[in-house]
Amino acid sequence: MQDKKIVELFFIRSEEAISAVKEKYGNTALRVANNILRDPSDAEECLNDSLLAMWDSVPPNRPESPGAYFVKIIRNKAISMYRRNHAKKRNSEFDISFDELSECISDTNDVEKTIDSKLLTKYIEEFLDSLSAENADIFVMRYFMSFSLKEISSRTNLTEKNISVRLFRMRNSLREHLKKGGMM
Amino acid sequence: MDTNKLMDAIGNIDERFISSALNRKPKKKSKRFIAANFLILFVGVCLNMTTLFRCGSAGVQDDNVSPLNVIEHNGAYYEQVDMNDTAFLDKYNLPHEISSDMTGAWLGSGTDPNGIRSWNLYSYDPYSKIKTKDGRSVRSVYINEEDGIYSFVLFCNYTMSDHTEFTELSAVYGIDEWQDIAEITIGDKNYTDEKDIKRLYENFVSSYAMGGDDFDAVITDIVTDEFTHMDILNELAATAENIRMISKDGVVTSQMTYYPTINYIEWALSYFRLNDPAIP
Repeated sequence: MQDKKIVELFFIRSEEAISAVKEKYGNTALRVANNILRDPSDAEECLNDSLLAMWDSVPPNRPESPGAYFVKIIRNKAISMYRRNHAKKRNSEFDISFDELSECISDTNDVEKTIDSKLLTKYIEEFLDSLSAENADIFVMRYFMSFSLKEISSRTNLTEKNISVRLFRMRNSLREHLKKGGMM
Repeated sequence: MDTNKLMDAIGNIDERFISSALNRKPKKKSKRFIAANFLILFVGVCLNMTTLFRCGSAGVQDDNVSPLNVIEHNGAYYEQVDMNDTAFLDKYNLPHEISSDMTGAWLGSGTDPNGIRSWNLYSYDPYSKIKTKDGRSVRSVYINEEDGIYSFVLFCNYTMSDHTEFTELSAVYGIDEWQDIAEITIGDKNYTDEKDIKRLYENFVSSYAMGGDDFDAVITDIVTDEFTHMDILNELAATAENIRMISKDGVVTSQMTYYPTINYIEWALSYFRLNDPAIP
């Protein structure tokens, strides 16, 4: 089903919208949640919560890409759940991508700044716009979706080594970009 | 700022970025890309590994060897030298003839896949006494014996290696510090002064080592609309300079190539990103 049709179903309050989103984007969303939580039952719970959240928020929101909108919801719900459970274990792809990103800000622990979250998002979007489309996708797959290098490799046809080098460079570039913007 | 804030901020990026990543399909490698990859291998083989081809266009052709055979020993490939190629032997400070007293310890034997030819491998006795600081022997030159006929075999590269540190490769030639080196030649520039040797060697050993995939990513990153993958490879091949190091014991390193355009060295299937230009 086309994305526009799915959004229309939400707007006419047809429950078919839920099953359409689940069918088209459920697997990817579930993988994002599972990469963060490393617990299939928690990931499934996140999936159901996210479908409900989408039902409650569309309308009034009218996402251009219901898939991206849905994955965004589940990613943020999974991270919230992860933080609640965090003390238990540290072994997910999210932990790894989290640690990688820590490198970007590792030397600023002594400088406490109040950062406006929206402004920070704007800087990250600027940074993503400065990348090639392929590199931006790789960055999003890694740090938004917490995909493993193997998963990214299968979606890009690049070797894991190649992806790893690109991510390393992108983290360094992001760090410079945030520094220039006074974010750190 | 902490990482949680960064993660949260990433979580709020515009949906167009997420949509693009969600919809990315694995791209099929184009024939051009495959050809470019082949060329990288071919350039690597021609300029540096010296193994299977004589390369007519690059400036480092003189150091190539046409091996009579390639053998594997102790996790590395070795190329059998044509003992009639005296000019080549001279370049490597090796005698034109091998007598039985030059053979050191027996290292092993091998046969070809058809079981027709068999050979014995020996250490090269004049080098067997040269040790690195940690006691490793020179492993760059061995002697092959087949039906009573001797020939040299030269280290080519490790068989299983994503990349090898520069110091690991130089140790194969008995070099593990700058004081072990008598001279370094890059293209037509020869350095024998200790200050130059120290500067160059320290530049080499402080380089960042990477394997072929990573180097390919480096090349891919500098491709523009103006300069294609092929243009860049051609430029690298045209400007490549051979690097030779001769130790104070007379052991000659081989198969090193310097790419001044991007300031990289290629050696035995590994690539080294230098911090400073090798030729000032």
